[in-house]
Amino acid sequence: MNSVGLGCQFRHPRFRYLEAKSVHEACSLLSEHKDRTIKFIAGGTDLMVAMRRGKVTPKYVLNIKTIPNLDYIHHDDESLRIGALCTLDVIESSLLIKEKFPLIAYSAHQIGTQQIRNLGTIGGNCCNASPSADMAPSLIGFGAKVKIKGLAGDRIVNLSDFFEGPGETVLQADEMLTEIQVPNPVPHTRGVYQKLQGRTKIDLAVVGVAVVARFGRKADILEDPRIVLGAVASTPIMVQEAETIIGGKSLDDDLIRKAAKIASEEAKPISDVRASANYRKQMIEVMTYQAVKFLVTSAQGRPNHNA
Amino acid sequence: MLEIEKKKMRNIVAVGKSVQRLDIVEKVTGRAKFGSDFVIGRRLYAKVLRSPYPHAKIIDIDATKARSLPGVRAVLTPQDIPHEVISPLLGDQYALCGDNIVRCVGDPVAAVAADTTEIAEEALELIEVDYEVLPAVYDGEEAFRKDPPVVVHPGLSNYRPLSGLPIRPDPERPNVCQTYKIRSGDVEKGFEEADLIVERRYTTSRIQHSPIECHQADAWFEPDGSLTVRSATQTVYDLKEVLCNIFHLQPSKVRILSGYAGGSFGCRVGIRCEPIAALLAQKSKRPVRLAFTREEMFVFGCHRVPYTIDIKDGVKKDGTLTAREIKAILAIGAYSEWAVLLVKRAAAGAVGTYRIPNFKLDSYGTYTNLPITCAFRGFGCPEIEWSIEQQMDIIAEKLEIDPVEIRKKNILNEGDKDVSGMITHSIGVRKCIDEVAKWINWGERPKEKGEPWKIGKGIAIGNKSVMAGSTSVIIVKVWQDGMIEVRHSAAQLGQGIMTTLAQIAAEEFCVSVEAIRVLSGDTAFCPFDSGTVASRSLIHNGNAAIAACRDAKQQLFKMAAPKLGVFPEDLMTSNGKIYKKGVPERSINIMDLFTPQGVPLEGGEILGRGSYTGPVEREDPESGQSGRSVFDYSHTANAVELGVNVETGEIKVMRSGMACDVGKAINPKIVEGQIEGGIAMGIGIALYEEVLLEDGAPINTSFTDYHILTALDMPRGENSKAIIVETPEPQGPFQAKGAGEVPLVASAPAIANAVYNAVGVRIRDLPLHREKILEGIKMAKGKTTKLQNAR
Amino acid sequence: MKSEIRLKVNGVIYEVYVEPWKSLLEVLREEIGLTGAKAGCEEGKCGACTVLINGKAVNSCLILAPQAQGMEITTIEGLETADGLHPLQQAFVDHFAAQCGFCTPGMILSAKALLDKNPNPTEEEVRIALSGNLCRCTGYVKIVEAVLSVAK
Repeated sequence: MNSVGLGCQFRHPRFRYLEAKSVHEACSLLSEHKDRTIKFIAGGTDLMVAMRRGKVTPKYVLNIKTIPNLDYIHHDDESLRIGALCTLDVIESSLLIKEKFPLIAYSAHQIGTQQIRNLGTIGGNCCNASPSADMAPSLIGFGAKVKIKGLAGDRIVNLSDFFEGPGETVLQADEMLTEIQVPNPVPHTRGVYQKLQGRTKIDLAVVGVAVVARFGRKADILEDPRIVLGAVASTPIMVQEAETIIGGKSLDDDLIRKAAKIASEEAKPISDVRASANYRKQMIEVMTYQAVKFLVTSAQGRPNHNA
Repeated sequence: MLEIEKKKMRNIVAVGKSVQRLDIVEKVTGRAKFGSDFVIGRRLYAKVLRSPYPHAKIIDIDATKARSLPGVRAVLTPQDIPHEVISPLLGDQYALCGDNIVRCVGDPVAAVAADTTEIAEEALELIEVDYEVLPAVYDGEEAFRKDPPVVVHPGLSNYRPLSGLPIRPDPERPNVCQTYKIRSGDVEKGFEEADLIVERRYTTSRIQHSPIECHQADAWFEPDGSLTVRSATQTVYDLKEVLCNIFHLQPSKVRILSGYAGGSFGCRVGIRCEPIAALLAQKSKRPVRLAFTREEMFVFGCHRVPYTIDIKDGVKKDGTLTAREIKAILAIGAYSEWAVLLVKRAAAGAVGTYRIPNFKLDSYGTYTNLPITCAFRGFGCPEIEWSIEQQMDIIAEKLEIDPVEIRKKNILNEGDKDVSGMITHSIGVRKCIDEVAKWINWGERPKEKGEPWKIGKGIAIGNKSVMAGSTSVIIVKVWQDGMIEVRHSAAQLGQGIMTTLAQIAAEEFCVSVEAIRVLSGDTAFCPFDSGTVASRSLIHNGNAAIAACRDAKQQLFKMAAPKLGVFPEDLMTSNGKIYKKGVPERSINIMDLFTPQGVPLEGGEILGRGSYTGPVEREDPESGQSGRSVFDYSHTANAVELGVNVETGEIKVMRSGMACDVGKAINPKIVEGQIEGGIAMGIGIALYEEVLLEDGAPINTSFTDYHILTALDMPRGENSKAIIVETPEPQGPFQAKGAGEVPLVASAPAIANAVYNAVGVRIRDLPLHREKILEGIKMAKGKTTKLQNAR
Repeated sequence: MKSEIRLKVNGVIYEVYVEPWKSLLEVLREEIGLTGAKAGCEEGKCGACTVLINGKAVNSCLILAPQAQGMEITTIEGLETADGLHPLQQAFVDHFAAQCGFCTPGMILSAKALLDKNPNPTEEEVRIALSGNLCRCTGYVKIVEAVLSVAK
C-alpha cells in the first residue's frame, strides 16, 4: 500500500537550521543528536539534492560554512594540507597546487560544473563518499590522509581506509573531517587521472583510474605505482595485483596490457543507469592501459596534461 | 501573387532582414515573465499524487488525514471529479478523472492544494490508496497483438472524441486506438520489378523534451463564475475547449493567459496541469498554482513515442526505387492524447521527399502501460526518417552508388504526384543536400585523427510538413500615432513568432519594425489560433496578419481618400503617411485621420481583421489519397563528420552542417537559431537521450542521468553550420514556410550513417549508446577495412 | 520557525522573514521579487538559477537562504545600469543569443563570472564556464559567439 507514488518523490524538505562557529561546537551538536537526525551543510551540492529526492530526511541541518579558518591551503616540507571547507574551485585554480600537485588540481576540475565547484568543498566531497568521486582516486594515489576531530580527540586516517561504502565513512556520530593531508611526493613522482565520463567531464565518472608512480632509473620504469579505481566498486579501490605487475619493471605494451587486464579482474563493478558491469569491466582495462601508457610516454617527454 | 507584385513596387523593408528580436532585451535583463514569475494574491500550491504502479485498480482512497492537515484547502480524489473529458482528442481519461484504473506509473490519482508547497507534499503522504495491482504490458509489439496479454482500455469503443478528428481503431487489435494507411500503386508488383530488396527493422527510444522550464499552471475563478487559467500551453484554444467542457462554461467564460514559455518542443501540446489546477481552484475558491518538478517532467511531462518501423524497399540496380512498404507501430503509452494525430501525421515523413511508384504504409497507435507520450518536435518525421535514411545508405552501399547521388536520383520533382496523391511543390531538398555535401567536402575521405579514433562522414535528408486545414486569426489595431498593434494567439516558445509577425506587419505598412507592437497571450482580446504546432504558426498567422493589415489599411484609405480627392484603391502607405500611388506629395499623415483624443474620424477604432485557413482535401480512409494532405513541406539535409573511439564506443561529433529549405527566411538569424538548436537536439537524441524504464517506471528522472547537450558537446566554432535554403512557397506569407521542426528531422540518421562509415557498424535503434557501438565494433572487426576504402 | 535574515542583493540590503529551509532561489523570487533567476530543476543541474556570490557563479537552488547572509549577491537584474545594458547583455542582443530566454539570465551571469576573472578566454574556456547552464533552444552557437565577442 503505497501513499507517495513514483513521480512525486521530489520534495521541499523542512528542518531546523543551526550554525556552528567552531569545530568543537559542530562536534557537540553532532553528539547532542546522536540519533543521526542531524546533517552538515557546507556547499549544499550533495545534501540539498539528497534531501530533495527524499534520500535523507534530517531534522536538523547544521551549517558549518560559518566555521572560520577551515578553508586554508598550507604547504610545507612535509605535506600539503587543505582545510575541509576549501571549495573545489579554489583547489583547481590554486597556483601552489597546480605547480606542486597538478594531478590534484586536475581531479578537482573534473568535478561537475563551475557552479558546483564554486560551492562544493573537498571535505564535503570526501564525506559524501560517492564511489565515483573524482578526487578520491588521485588523493589515495598520493597516500592522502584525513584529519578527523571529535569530542574525544583527533585522529588521522588514511583516505584509503576512510570510505566504507556508498555514502558511508568511518566517521563516528560526533566526528568531523577537518583536513586533507597529502604528503609531499618523492621527486620524479607523476600521476594521471583518466575519467570515462557520461557525455563530458561534468558528468559522473563511469570509470575513473588514477595512477601515481615515481620514475626511477629509466623512463619506462614506474617505481611503487599506485593504481586506484573509482566508480567500479562500493568505494575507490587499489588494485594491488596490477600494481605488482608493473612496479619496477621495464614496461612494454604487453606488460601494460596484462596489468590492465588484471586491474579489470580485480574490480567488481555494478550495472546501473550509467553503464553495465560488463562495459565497466572492459573500460577498466582500456582506461588503466591508457593511464599507464600515458605516464610512460609523458616521462619520455611527450606532452602530459595532468601529471 | 500579391506578395510578388509588392516586391516589384518597392524595396523590401523588413522581411528577409535579421531584425533585432522584439523580446530579447526583456530576456537578457530578466524582465521577461514566464508562468511562475507572475504573482497572484492568496495563491495556494498544489501537488499531485501519482500511481507507483503501471497498472492497477484503485480499491479505495482515504484522504481524511490529508483533508484535516492544517493548511490544506482542497483535496481531490476520483469521487470529487466530474466524469468529464480531460484528454481532448480521443476521450480517454487519467485515473483521477476516469474509471479508477491507473494505467501507467505517474498516472494522477489525487491532488491537494495547500498554503505552501511543503504542506501540500506532506498532505500527499497522508493520502492512503489501496491498489489491486494488475498485470501490465510494456512492449509495443506485445500490446499490438490480436490477443494481447493485457487490454489497457477495455472501454475504448465507448470513448467519445471531443475533436472532430477521425478515429479509426483496429477492431481486431484491442489496444490499437488509431490506424492510418496509404496505398499507392502495387507494392508487390514493385518488389517483383526490383533488382534488390532491403528489408530492416528500426526502433526509436522514449525521450523527454527537457525544456528548461517545467510545466506549470495557475487557475482561478472570477466572482462571476468565469475561469482564468495561465499556462504556457501550445494549444490555447484546445485548452479552452477542454475547460469549457469540464466546467460546463461557455467559451466567453474561460480565459487563457500565457506569457513566455521556457521552450516546449511539443511537450506543452495538449493538457498538462491546467484541469487539475482549475478543479482545485474551484474546490478551494482560491487561486491555485500547480507546478511540475523536474522529476515529474521525466515521469509524466510526456515522452516522445517509441516507434517500431518495419521497412522494405525495392530498388533497381541503377538506384531507382520501385517500391517501399512501411509498417509502423507507435507504442503511445497509457493515454492517447495527441498521439492519435501522430499516427497519421508521421506518415508525411515518408511521403514528402521521395518519388516512389508503389507505396504501402500502415501505422498503428497502440496503448501500453507506460507513461504518456505526446507531440515532439518533428511529430514523427524524425522517427520515420531514422529508418528511411539508413535504408538509403544501405541501398547505396549494396549498389555501389554514392549516398548523395542515390538520394538525388529518387527525390520528387516539382509537379510530381507524391504517394499521398498531392502534387509536389516548393521542394528545395536537392539544394539542401548539395549545400551540405559541399560544406562537408563529401567527396574527400575524412582526415584520420589517429588511434583509437576512426572518422566517418554521413548524410541524411528529410522533410517536415505543415498540417492542412488549420486556422489562424489576427487583429491589427492602428493607433493614432501610427503604431501598428498586432494581436495573435500563437504560443511564444522562443521560436520568434512575435518578431516575424512584426516584420510582416512592418512590410505591409512599410514602416520600421519599431512602429509595430505585437500582443498575445490573452484570449480575452487575442483571436483564435489552431495551435502552435506542426510548424504552422508563421504561415497561418503570417497570412492572417497580411489580411488583417490590408483590412486596417482599407479602413484608413476609406477615410483618407475623400481628403485627397482620390479613390481608396489609388492609395498606399509608408512611414506613417498615406499617399496616392506614384504621387507621394499628395499625402496625409495617418495621425491626421484621428481626433486629438485619438479617435479615428470614422468607425471608432481602426481594427483590421484577418483570418487564414489552409487548404485541405478530405482523404480516402482506405488509401490515404488526397489532393492536399498537408499544407506544404519544409525540407532539410544534414551532413555530419564524427569520430568513433573504437576502444570505448564513444562518439564525438566534430562537424555538423544542416541546410533547411524554409521557403523564405523572414528573419535569417532567427531561422539560423532554429537550425543550430536542431543540430544540438539532434546530437543529444542520437547519442545520449533515453528514458530508462524499470517495471514501467522511469528511473533516470533528473539531468544527472538524462543527458541533454551541454556547451561542451557541440562542434566547435564554425564546425556547426546552419545553411538557409529558400524555395518559395507561393501560399506562404512572403513565400515562407515553417522552420521550427524541420531542423530535427535528419540528424539522427546522418549520425548513424557516419558511424557506419567510420567503423562499419549499423545501429538501428536509438540512442547510439557506446555500449552498442562497442559491441558492434567487436562483431564488425573484419568489415572495417573494406569500408574505409569505399569512398 | 521563520526568522529574519538580511541579504545584500545587487548592492541593496533586504530584510526578509523566512523559514530556514527556503533556498536562496526561493527567497530571491518570492520574497524579494527578483524573478530573473529561474527554477529549472532545483537540483543544481540546469544552471537556470545561477546567481553570482562574491563574483562566482553558483546554483542558488542549492544554497539555503541563511547561508547567503553576508555575501555580495548579484542577479541578472543587477547587471544593467542607468547607462544601459551590460556589454554581455548587449552582445546577447546583437548575436541573437536567446530564444525562449529561460536559461538566459543564468547563462549571462556564468559568462560574466568568467570574463571578470579571465577577460580573454579561449572558446574552450567559454564552453567549460557555460557547461553548467543547460540550453535546449540555441545549441549554444550564438551564445558562445556572443561571449567571445565581448572577450575580444
